[in-house]
Amino acid sequence: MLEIVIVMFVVLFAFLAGGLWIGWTLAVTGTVLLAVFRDIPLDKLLAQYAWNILTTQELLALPLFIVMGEILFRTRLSQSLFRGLTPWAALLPGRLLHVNVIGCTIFAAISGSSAATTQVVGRISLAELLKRGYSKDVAVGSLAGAGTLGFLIPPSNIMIIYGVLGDVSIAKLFTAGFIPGFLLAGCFMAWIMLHTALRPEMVPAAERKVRVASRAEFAVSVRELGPAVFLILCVLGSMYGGLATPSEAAAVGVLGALVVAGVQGELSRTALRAIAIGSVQTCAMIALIVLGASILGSAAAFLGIPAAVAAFVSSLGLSSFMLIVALIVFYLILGCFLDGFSMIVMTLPIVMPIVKAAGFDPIWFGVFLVLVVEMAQITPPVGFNLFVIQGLTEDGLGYIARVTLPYLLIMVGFTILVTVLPDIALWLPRYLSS
Amino acid sequence: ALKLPLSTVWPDGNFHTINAKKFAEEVKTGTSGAVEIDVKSGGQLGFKGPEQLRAVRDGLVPMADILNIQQIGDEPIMGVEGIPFISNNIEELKVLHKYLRPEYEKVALKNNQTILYMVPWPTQYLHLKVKCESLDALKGIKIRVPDKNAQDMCSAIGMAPALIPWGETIAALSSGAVAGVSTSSVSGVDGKFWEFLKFFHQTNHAWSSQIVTINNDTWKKISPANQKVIVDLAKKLEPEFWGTSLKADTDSNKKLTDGGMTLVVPPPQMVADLQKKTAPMIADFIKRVPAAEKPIKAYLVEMKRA
Amino acid sequence: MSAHGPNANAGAPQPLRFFLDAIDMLGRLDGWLGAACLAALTCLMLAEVLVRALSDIFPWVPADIPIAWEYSSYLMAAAFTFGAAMTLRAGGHIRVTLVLARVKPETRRWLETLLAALGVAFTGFLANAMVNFTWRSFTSDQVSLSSATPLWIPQALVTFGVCLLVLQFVARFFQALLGLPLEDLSMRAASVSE
Ligand code: NA
Ligand code: NA
Repeated sequence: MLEIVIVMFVVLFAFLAGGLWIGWTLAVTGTVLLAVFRDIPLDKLLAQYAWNILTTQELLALPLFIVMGEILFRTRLSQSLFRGLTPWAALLPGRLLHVNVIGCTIFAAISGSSAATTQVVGRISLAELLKRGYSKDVAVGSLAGAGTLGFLIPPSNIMIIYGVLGDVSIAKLFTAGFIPGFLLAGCFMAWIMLHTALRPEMVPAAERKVRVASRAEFAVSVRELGPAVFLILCVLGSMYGGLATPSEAAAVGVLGALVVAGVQGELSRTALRAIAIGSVQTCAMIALIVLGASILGSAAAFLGIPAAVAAFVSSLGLSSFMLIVALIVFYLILGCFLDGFSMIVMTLPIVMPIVKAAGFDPIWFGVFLVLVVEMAQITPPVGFNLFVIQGLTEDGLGYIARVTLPYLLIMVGFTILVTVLPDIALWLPRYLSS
Repeated sequence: ALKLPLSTVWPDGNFHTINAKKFAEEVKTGTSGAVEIDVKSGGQLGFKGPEQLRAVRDGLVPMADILNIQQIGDEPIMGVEGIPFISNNIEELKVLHKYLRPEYEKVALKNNQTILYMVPWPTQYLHLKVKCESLDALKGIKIRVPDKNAQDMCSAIGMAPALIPWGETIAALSSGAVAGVSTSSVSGVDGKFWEFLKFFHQTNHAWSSQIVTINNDTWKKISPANQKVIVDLAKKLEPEFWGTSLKADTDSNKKLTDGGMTLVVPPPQMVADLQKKTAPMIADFIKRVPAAEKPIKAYLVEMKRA
Repeated sequence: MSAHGPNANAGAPQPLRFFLDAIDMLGRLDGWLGAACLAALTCLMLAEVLVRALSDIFPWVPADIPIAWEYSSYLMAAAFTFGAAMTLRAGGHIRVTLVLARVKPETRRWLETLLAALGVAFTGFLANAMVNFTWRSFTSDQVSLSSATPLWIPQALVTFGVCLLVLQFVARFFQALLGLPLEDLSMRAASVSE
């Protein structure tokens, strides 16, 4: 087993460092592992995997939310959302640096995916923040960190997958995500306030003081937020109003975005062309990585790598608190290389019994898993939110990961807090069911 | 030792997976560790349900726990148990299996594999918001169905079937996009249906079975003595596993009832109406899959239905 | 195409240049096919919602479009693979350029050639596997579970997309070998930094 793990790391790092495309790095590593250590008809296996992954119905919301994001980005909608949030963010020290967190929190309530949340909000805010002279480090870092809220605040694709595999009520999981989601957003904002207090130069000189906007400005803000609220109604309304399942609601979101853009007269041929090509390229980019990650994930499962690691963890005989700390470390390492979907699918069969035996509530563990999956989104070399941001700003992965580090640490701390105080997650579902 | 991964899409807590693990355990002891079956649950090897037969055929995985009705895309005869109301209880299903098993074994051989044992899923229920004791009451109810077969049946009895993936079913239920689900009581417990639904109707409208097979090239690598041990174990455990299926049904019924749902046994008139409405589907099936004629006819004769 | 920059393949000798230009054109074309797939899948999902909503009001409207989910997933797969080649040419696929950015231009050229060759090898292997996969479903009359659709049709679409990606990698191999521009930024959808 040790030699398999060593080969995996050597091949992975060699190709990554050599500059091979990440999706293909993962796919080639998985293929090499299977070729060396297993006697399987590789071509048949790869074809079957590729077909499976590319047609996974659970993924359908992803391209739809990407299209929605492209529409929002290429129209005035993006700016009006940004403008609408401006007077509210100005109430806080750090001002517009909070827009990412607030925007992601709002959009997380529409989208089930964290990459899509990062995509949509980032397209709106990054350019604006940089143009106004805000610190790029905080702008990029807070976007990467807050973008992960897409999984924690319902609807959540990851929670659906966990609920199905782990035999847990999805309705309760969704409910359990609300309070941790908003609390985590609060932690991010508290950090931004602290950070800007320590280093005021991160905010442009003219905007360092907190400012209460005039009544007129708030009125304008409400009008500017109108389209976004309409969009939330399209997605959440169609979902909770009994019209659509989450993936279908994403399609309603696309329609809603098109309607708003059309009413604003923003759907020129040039814009439509850009929306089409932008969507296709983003989808293809993410799909290649999902494909590679899933191939590597399945190869690892074939070779029993996650099982070996989990068996090692359970052999340590840890206390339940130390078990969770060990699991955080385990998932942090795993999350460096795998996407959240593969991570859950691969480890759940082994980890779930360990966790249940240690006396943890499965709903609580779902929230825990969502948190570690969110961390995996922002740890290099394989972190989807990092890739999405790289697609937006064309910065190096190393830079994006470095400025995201404080937010990763906050998430680690928050996960430990939720371990110590499980009621953060469990109170609301319990309250609602009683 | 020969290590054989066994692919299944069902999670660890599922009774089929528990059975497979028990089988693996006994095979390990019985062959003195020469054959070690490694149950890979929850679809972690990356194969979906409808691909399990093919995965074993192509040697992608040496063993799998295959859901027969999901293989009809490759082998249509695997769908016989799913014909609406073909068996009214697990005893009748046992008789049907007597005639089907030789056909399944032919299919397995054609796909380069050997059947070790077969275990049915518990019977199917209509899980609904309202209590229905006649065909009229079912009319127009939006119900989630898993496949085309169930869809045809629900259309035939006047319901409004919606083909939605399992992963979206709970969301569809909680939002009210559908007002019912056609599935077993075991899946009803998995989905915690009592959060959304009130009544589960024991219609026994369709059946399906899990088939554990092994790739024939792998099979040849096992010594004849150990092959015999494995076959005997499978034969010995199969009735016991059938028992777990029945038990899973009763246990799940209890859990559904504890959760606040009510079991509805359809009155004889409703059963007769349901069977009458769906009767043409047996003939349709035979027309589509001629190879199914012999076993179905033989079964119906024994049941005194033909 | 209006966004056509100065021809990036101008430095290639004929008939290679013709081949490279043709692949670039194919890349643009299949990008548009991918967009069409995305549009179709959005419409299909919307139609599903609409039909279900209408069936609440009018009893004669069916409760759903049975093929909606299945065909949407085929369209998604097609969109994913059709876009892959164009995205490669546009420089949209992610990779770690830490080493590449620090080596001498000559070394970089050889490294890029090697990487493109690796891309050809792996994608070629995958494409070959997909062709066989599709061929097997065709010859064994495999149909889908939920709608009995012959699976080779959507599989052929995806396979075609993967084959186009192979071609794009082949083109990239020659472009790297000859030291031509590897990425055609005019094909790139605008990003926030622009
Ligand atoms: Na969300
Ligand atoms: Na990561």
